[in-house]
Amino acid sequence: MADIQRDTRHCCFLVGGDCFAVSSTGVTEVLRDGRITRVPHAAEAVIGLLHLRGRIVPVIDMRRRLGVIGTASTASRTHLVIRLHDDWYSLLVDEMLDVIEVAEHQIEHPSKPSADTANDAVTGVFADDGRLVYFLDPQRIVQPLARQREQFLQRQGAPHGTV
Amino acid sequence: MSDNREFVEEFLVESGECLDQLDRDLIALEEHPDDPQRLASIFRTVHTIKGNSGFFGFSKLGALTHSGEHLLGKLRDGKIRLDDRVSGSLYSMIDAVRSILQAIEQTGVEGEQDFRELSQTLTAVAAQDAAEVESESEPVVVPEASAVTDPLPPAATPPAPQPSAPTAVAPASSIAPAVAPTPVPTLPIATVPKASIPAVESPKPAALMPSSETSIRVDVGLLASILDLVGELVLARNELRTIESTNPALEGVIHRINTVTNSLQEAAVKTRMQPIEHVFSKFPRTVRDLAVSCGREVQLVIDGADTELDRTLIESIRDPLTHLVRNAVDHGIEPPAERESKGKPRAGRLLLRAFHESGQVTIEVKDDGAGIPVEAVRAKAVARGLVDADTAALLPADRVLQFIFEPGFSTAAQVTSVSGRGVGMDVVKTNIEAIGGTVDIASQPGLGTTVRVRVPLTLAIIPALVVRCGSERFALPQAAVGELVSLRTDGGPRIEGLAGSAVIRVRGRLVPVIFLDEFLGLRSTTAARENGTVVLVRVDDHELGLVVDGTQTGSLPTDDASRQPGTSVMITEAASLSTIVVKPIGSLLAQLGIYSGATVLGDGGVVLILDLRGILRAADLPAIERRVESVAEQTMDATDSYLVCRTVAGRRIAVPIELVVRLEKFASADLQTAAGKRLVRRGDGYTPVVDADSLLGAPSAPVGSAGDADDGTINLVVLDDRCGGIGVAVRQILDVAAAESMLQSTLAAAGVAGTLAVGGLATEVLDLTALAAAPKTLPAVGGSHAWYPSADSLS
Repeated sequence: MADIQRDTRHCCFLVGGDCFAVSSTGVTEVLRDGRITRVPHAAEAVIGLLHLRGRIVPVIDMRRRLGVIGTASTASRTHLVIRLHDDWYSLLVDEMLDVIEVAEHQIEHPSKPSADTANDAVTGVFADDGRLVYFLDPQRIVQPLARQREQFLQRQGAPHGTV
Repeated sequence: MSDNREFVEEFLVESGECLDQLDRDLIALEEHPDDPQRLASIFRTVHTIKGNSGFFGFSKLGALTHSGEHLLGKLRDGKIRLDDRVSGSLYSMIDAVRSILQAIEQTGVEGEQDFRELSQTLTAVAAQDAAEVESESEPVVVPEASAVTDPLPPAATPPAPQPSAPTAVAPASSIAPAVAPTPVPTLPIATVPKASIPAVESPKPAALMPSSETSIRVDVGLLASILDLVGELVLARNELRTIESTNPALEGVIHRINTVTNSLQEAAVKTRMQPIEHVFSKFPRTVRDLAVSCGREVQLVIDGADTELDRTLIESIRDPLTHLVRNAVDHGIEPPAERESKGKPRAGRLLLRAFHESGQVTIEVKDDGAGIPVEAVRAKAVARGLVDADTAALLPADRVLQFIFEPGFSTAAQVTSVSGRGVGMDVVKTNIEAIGGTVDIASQPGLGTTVRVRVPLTLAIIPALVVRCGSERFALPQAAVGELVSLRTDGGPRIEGLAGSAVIRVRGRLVPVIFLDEFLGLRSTTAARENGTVVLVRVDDHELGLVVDGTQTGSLPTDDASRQPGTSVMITEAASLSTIVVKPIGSLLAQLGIYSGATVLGDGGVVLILDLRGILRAADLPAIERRVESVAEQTMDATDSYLVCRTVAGRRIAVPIELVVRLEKFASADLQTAAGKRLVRRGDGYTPVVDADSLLGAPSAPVGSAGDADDGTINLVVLDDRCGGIGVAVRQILDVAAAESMLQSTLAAAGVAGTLAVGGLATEVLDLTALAAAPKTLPAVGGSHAWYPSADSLS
């Protein structure tokens, strides 16, 4: 995480009218469309898999992840592909914006992490030219989505195959 | 150190190989202590490590190997003889070198461990014995290192900058004159030219030597990315093939690209392959150490070490195989004295064999030891409540042996021997099955045990069955797929409800089914329930039916014969399988536990690969099985299938289909009478014929007219031996159907075991007990589950 914060360049994007940013360090590419294959029983925000030149990448719908009400048409949205350790993820955002340079000291950090599950990935805020940019930690975006196994197994508790 | 990191890594890899070679050579040397070639090879290897460590400034390593080399020098010169103390100290040195290399690999430095004591031991072992011999040995070691008395610093300084083979051999030749008066065996080393030494050695090192010229080290990541790219190329090729074209030039190019891509894929896949040698090479040492600690004598025979399989699998089979080898030495092979008393050679024989067999790699671990005491295992299984005593008594030996794979059974099964270890055979089985393999065990008391491990060649590319479910597609590993059953609404195979679970009846077996759409939370389609396909899969010891809409090739063809109402025709055909490249789906989705990966199909679509073991666990199949089984036992007579017939007198009767061997039709004129019994000739023998009506207590029809159908033919239901192989004459065969109600034995009458509903009509079930030649062998009709589950007798 230290590396992410040391890097000053951030990719900005729109989700539900708000501006968010992730460090450009982990960003590998941005692409417009792609066929998404559904993954049953995955977390709600994980809307499927994307085939990216031989690599299979889970797609995280940032609208769902950030708790934005209403869905934008998927067709016009953009995949922001990031790399986190050995795994790759696509963040499905409404629209890509610019790349900004922000030094660490310019970012305001919340006094304590948000308890709100939708905002728990936000690490800081930066007021840039009249707009607010929320910084997201990719690790924290992904982490809560991995807690699905227990829930999944619970759902499977009911007897199956009842005619 | 960091700037020559690359060289250090190479040094580590090389030295690791050297150590494996050392283990092998030292074991061979113990068998033939006078083999000068082996000794030369060992000396050379240790010298190489020593030289390299000096080059990189690893002083501890240098000091240690120096002491070892010194000892080996004495050994080579015949100053000392190879005994347990010498070989023991050399093994300790190899282990110490290994641990230093490990430290270097992890931390980049040699670590804090102190090996001075070991160095001193090595020196002492060399010196003590040497003291007995004349002092003329001194000049021998001089060219190597002058500071024999001070074992610590010498190699740290760089007096041996050329670590390659030539220097290793040079001292050998320089020693030659000095050792001339000593025993003959050492002479050949000195006289044999350097290049020919490897050639005289066993084939393995000889094969390794030239490979250094034709092979290079390549980063695994690079190979993986090449494989990925080839996969991409295959997809592009597939798309290219779908293009309709009338241009012959284009067709030619597409054809060429097709051929080249195929070859390229094959070659790329081969880069993943490694000989199983990489696992086997550790075993001579393991076996030697084990044999020493367990007080056994073991002769290890390795066969097929060049058998190749996927690199990633090689790692996965290492631990299970090690465990099997340990088991064989510890529990299989008896102590030498015991073996002799049994008339076996003192040394036990342990065979490790690998070979390719029908697209898989088979690895056998075979010992000629005591074998597994089947009765002890049987008793233990009963004691542990794995099986009840009555059932256990009937189980054949090979089934009993399967209990060894039960969790926690291992320690209990160690009736043969001493030590208990953490890992049991269940772990071996679990680990092997996790990579799609199987483990079989066979044992003959007194003669030995053979464990056969079968693993796939690779996990990266597997044959798979692609199924449709709603709007989605999923891939199932073909290895687990048994057969496909088409569901039919018109009386063919269908899903039945039993104990709140869905089951399908397959040749008398009740197999629990899961509706894939429901399981995955997809919108359920009635289509799948009625006209879909059941994919029967076998995972571990469980059988499961997955109900899907169809397979990739579309629904299975139905012919007229299979549409005939009332006959349950199983369509089993080889549905088209795709060879798919398995790709990881990332930790986020892998931890769901129901997908083992994903693949990209020819049309570019991404398809999830179902993890059947995970699904089985998530659906809690064992619980369903238990429920189904217990209910099935109670209601078997109500759910079993019956042959429905009409008697001459017009009564509707049913015969459990289990008991029916076949149906015959013949002219009434063929009916003969002998000794007051009616018979019909069948091949060389006669089948006794009984009129169904007479069984039901109706007045016996005149001989010859029984079962006489309108056209002068007789329908005969031939029963199996439990009913004396008798033929029951009836007017008409109506149907084969499952009973729809419980057998009501209150409605029993003469010759009637009871009444139940078949095909919507009350039907009398023929009481066949009277027919039994030996009544005890005949299960009472409507009795419990006597003819379950051996239901496959009907042909």
